[in-house]
Amino acid sequence: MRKTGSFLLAVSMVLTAGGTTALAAGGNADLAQGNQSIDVEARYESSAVTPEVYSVDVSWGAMQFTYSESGTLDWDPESHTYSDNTDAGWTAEGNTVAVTNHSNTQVTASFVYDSLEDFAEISGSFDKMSFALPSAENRELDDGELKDQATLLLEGALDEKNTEFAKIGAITVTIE
Amino acid sequence: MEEQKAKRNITRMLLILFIVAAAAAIAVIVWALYFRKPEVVLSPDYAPREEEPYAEDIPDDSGEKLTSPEGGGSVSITYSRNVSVDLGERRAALHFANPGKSNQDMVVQIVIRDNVIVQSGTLKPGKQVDSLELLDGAEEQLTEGTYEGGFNVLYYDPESGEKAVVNTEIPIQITVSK
Repeated sequence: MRKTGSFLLAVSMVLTAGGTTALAAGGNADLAQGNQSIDVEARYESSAVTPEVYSVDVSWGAMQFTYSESGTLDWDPESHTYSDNTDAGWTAEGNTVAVTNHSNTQVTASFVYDSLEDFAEISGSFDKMSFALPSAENRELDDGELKDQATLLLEGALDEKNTEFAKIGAITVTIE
Repeated sequence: MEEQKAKRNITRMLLILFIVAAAAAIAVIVWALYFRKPEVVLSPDYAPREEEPYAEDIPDDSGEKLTSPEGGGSVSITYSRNVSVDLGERRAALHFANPGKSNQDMVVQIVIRDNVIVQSGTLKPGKQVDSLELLDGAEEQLTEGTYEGGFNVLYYDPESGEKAVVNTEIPIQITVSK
């Protein structure tokens, strides 16, 4: 009876010394060697959001246009009229608008020219009405794909009294 | 008999008053819906002298300028396309920045169906805003809900204050709450 009691006491001491933690749920214990291991589990869960950040550079040239006429108006004595041998047209300096996308999403740039009321007879159009630029995500700052430009062309005649540069219209760049 | 006649007259008078009041109310509603001209806010041709009071410095802005074509201009704009308007506080919460690399001052307007409801003061390069006040009367034009609107961004020469030949429009979504 005394032997049995001693044996039970010894077993309970070993169990205590071996680590009660190892006997917790989910664990196992190598009681013989006194080591223990606990399973550690992991999983990935993403709650991070990536908000769209728009960042766009727009640059434009001087936007100075000159309407010039060349050639001659030749007098015809037979009909008492001039025959028109002149040529007229627009030349431009700095007539491009460039857009660069630094956003983490694609953008589309579109271009509209609006004449001022006093110069309604002059219309303008762009060689590219719009273009799309890809997201800058995973691209270098100077990636050529992120930049494009449109060129403004004018049509119509400017009155001869306008010999100095004057504002005749404005450009709206829409970024979508 | 006389009493009944008097009661009838009073009822008739009340009825007439009610009809007149109802007709006046209908007329006001019809005018407001179809004939009232929206208040026009003209975009300034020169930058406002007053800088935007809610503008703050952009943190960690390098200020390194963009290369500008000769005689032209270069700007950079950073923004979020979601704007919320609190009618109670008469404020719009937004994110709009004129980074230091721009070489133009800016004014930003918030526009809903051709009505300007917000117009900032001048935003110098290196400044941003997260809050702007509604223009006077704008809160009367809005009710709770979501609107499709736009930023209208105007650029100004920092030296002369003259408006640039180019401006930018950006579609945004505006959530209005009380």
